[in-house]
Amino acid sequence: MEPAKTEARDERGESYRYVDHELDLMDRVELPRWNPWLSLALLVLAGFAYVWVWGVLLRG
Amino acid sequence: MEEFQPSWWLIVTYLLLMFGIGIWAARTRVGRMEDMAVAGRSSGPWLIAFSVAATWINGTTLIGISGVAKDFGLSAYWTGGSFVLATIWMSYYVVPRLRATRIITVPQLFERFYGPRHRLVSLSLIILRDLGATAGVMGSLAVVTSSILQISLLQSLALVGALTLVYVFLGGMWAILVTDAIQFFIVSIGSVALVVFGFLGAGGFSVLRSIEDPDFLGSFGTGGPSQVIAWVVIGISITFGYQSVIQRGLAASSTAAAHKGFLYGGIISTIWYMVPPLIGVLGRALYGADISGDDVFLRMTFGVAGGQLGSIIIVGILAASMSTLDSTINTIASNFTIDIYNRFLNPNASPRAQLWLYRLNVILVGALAAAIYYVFPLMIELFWLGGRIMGASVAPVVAAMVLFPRVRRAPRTVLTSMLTGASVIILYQILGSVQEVGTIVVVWTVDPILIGVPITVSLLALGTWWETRNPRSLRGRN
Repeated sequence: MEPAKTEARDERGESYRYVDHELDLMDRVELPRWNPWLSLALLVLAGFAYVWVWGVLLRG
Repeated sequence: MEEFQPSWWLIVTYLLLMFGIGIWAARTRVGRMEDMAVAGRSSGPWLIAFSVAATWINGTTLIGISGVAKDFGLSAYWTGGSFVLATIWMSYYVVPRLRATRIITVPQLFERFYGPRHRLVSLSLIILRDLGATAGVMGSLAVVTSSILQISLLQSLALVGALTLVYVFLGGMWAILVTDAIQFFIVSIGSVALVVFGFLGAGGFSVLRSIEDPDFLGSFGTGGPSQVIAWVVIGISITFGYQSVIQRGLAASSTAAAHKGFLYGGIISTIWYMVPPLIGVLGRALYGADISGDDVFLRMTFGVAGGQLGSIIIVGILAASMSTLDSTINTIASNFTIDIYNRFLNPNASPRAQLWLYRLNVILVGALAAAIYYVFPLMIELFWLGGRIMGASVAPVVAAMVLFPRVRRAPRTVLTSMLTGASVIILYQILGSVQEVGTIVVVWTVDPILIGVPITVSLLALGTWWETRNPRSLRGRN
């Protein structure tokens, strides 16, 4: 997660609009290799496991 | 509640500390508008982490989720848990990329990708939600304060508004980051202590055996899978477009700091979010099913805690609400200043003029939120509905813009998807989807976001494919 080169262009007017090649500059910040939607589903499943563990604890 | 005497020195010390941090930030950290809006983009990961956590925890969280848990059981975790799990996900997939673009507000990104029309539409949808949330949090804070101080709601609104506005006015995001970190620890200590002492005083977990419903402590609670799935979808969708939280990432000193701040803040909040449901289920066991959901938390505070612990919890409620209120006020002030004043009214304003206009906007937003709460009786619907409108319009589009390059080249699809998603939610509300409205707890027959999000996402996917199917049509965009 190194700083992207988009940071080089900082101060611009509020009406500035990206030219075509700038549209994809944010892609220089690499994402994890995991499929994002699979990761989200796994996080939700982890949440269910957390609730389940508390349920077991509270039931004694 | 009448017998409870809060510890005034604790409350006054806390408020003076917040004021002192505002003065410190104004004298040493704030010199231009960017310092007010995103702390000069120089915050480290831990300050961001605690601030993200504090933003997710507010008076509505404590009081509202405890109330939901009284009726729906342990599954009430998902009313907040989905937000914080989505925060962890955003730490990897969304926030570092948004930080790299050097934007300050989300509508700014819409203009850079698509033009001013998209900026105005996204701005309207975001402000609708954030102003409703600001009014809602300010209102719940005022209700608690008026019952503690025995003053009128109007006086209470003026008091809590003024106390929060002072340090935001002085120190902007810098004051918010530091006060949020302190507020997070106060809330955590007070709320966890309430759970521990509550269960110890009641004789341990065995007190819950008095609750006969077998689903109460189950994973889906008494609401069943459809209710839990609705909570999960709502939380995830709103988080994707929740500008107040996203701005924490934009305040980071680097993309790595933004990632770590959101990751740590998300994990801390995920663990903590079980506290309000535990207070709710304990309240149900102690006071029975007939107690009002809105009263569970305060009854536990005044009944179970009392004394110094009760005072810490009261300060915790103040801290929890102020930490959310300051964020939403600051976010809307940045929208007013950057997306309206700088963009359309006075693009050549000097840095000093921008800074002072930002501060004036802080006061304006605070006054506006108080007026909405006091004058507009349907405020609660605005609070909940605005979140759903934003969650079914701007939020999925922001995630798609960050993850899929083709969406960045589909301006018509993006605009149509946002407007359709928002319209579906409003239409569904007009047709009558709310089953029960409390002062804090809202129950829906079928949550409108379960209709709105699939429509928006489908339109976004199909429209992007259609609009970008011919590479030649993309040329000459500008």
